[in-house]
Amino acid sequence: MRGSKRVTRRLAALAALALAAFAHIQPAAAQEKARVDLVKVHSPAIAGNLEGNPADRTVYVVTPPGYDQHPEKHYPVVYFLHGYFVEPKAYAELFDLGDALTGAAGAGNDVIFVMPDGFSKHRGSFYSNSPTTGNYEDFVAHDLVAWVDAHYRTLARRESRGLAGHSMGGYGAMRVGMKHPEVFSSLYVMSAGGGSVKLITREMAERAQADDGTVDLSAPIGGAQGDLAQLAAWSPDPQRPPNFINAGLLTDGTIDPVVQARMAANSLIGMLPQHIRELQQYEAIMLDVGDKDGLVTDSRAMSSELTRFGVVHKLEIYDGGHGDKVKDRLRSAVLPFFAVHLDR
Amino acid sequence: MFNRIKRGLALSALALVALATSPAQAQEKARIEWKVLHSKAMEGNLEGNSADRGAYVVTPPGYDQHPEKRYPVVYFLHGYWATPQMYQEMMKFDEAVDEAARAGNEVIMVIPDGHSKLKGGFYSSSPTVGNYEAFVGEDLVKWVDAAYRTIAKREARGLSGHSMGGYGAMRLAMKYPQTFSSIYAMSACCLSPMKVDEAGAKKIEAMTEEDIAKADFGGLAQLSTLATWSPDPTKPPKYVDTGLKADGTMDPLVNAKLAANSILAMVPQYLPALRQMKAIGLEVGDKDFLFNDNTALNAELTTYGVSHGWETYDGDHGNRIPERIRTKLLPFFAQHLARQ
Repeated sequence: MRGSKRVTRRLAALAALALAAFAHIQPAAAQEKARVDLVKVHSPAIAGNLEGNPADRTVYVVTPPGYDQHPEKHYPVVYFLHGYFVEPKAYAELFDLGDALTGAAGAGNDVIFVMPDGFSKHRGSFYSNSPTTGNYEDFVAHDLVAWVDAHYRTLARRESRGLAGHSMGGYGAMRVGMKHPEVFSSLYVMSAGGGSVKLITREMAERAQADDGTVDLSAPIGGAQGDLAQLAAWSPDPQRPPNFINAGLLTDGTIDPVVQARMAANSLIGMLPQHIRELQQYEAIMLDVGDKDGLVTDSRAMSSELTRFGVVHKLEIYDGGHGDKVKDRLRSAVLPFFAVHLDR
Repeated sequence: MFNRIKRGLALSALALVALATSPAQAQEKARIEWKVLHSKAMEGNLEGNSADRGAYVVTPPGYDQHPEKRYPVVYFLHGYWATPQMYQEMMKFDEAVDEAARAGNEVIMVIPDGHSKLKGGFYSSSPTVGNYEAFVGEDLVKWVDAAYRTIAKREARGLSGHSMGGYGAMRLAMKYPQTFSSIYAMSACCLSPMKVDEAGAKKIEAMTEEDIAKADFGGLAQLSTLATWSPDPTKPPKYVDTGLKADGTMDPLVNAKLAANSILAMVPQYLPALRQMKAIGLEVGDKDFLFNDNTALNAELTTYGVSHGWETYDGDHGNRIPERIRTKLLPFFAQHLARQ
């Protein structure tokens, strides 16, 4: 059953690859509109993970109109990290990427837009390094950037690379941004919060440990899956199948303080004071959140932490929820932000 | 004004060093020199810890006679409360390097100054205390490679330390795998997450400059770790966030910041870096108050399949360190550092 699913997935991937290759081979005729390529990028950083997440990652690459006609032209790149629970396809559709990038180019901002697959067994990698999920952080910062620079006409330097993301992807943008100021020069963090720490309760730990490792991809958001995803990312344990996590439940019903410490150690607010010098290297940092998003308080807390440490940034709170305005804001806020801050 | 005087003092220290090193005649024994280098990473910290940092550099016998020869480098990070001078008194690094050379293991040994106003920067990055992490991992290594005949590559650089320095060695291994290739941590501190409670926070808030000046080890260590891991540039004069809120309750985020810097919490995030190490050695005395913590780190590295050596011995936190630098630490690096 599982095997056949894998085969189907692999076939789909192959077909996608073939399609992508076909799109490339097409006579380099005039490219009037932005083109969305669906490609596969092999990531050694993901290979060998315990969840069996594929090391060949799906990546959306959008080239701006005119890319084919100007073979001498090199472009800045905006990397975008999608949110928890869905595969990148959902974001590609939500954003209507071709339309968004055609629009940006029409306003004089022609950029390459790259969205990698941050999905995992429990529906989201949190763009972190873990033997259980794979090293998604290194995938984004090393393997992906190197591949894009080798396969597209990019301006291959930090000044021309922006990193953005929404929700889990906003977390990822801030996290990878803190660790890799040598790769990226501006950050746009959408609806990520960041100003608090998730601690494991006895109930969460019991539920996570009772999970038999079978994943029901039709299950709704919520439930044990989010906890499992975060534990897989931040408290991995290669000795404990089937989920390879350590939820920290001790025999007396308390939670191992080391497991709580790992959750704290991966919170943006826990990481921040150690990475001030790195964040100060950024040309620009932007946070935004909708005023009806549950993460609005958390985003304010993150912003005041940044202020406390003298990290120049902006926080914009807009009329909206967690996801309802994201499509608009990609056009009206995110792409214009990078138009201002990325070197051409 | 004070800064200018300090800079003046640093310059005269440099002049002294220059005098000490001048005649390049036969060097029969290991030579220990106190050098001062400027660390850009340390500039602008709020405690006023000098960006002109001292370091002992020990060159092996024969260094002067063989101007074509290059050497591996062993970096050693000292412990909390102490200075490189106090360690030199106990360890006699020059004699240790001398003995090692006679056994065929010629290395340069470097002991940088990790001391701070509050007696230790924990080789971390903090706007309050300074970026000791980058001082050692970047500025110091670059300076040593420029000023001495080193084999300037990661395969020939080892990093070690004792207590706070053992913590520093583990921490920098995770952050600078491109710079160091083997690690030896002796009686490492600060492995499991620390916690500050209301009483502790109140005590720290109440500490005056005078209290700080006469505080003992226990009294100062918590303030020092908070300055390092829970800095607050908006709160003079200590520039520390103790987490104590106006209503007397504690902000739990302070403990999250402390936790985020504990080695046991950091390890799972940095496995790709640790796996790049050619060798990792951990050791602790069986009567050391840090015995359980080090045992937990050994278990954690085993869980994650990070290959490493682990040795416990009859001893406490400090009584056998001089001997073990000679019998364990230097032979470990002799085995693992590249000689060309």
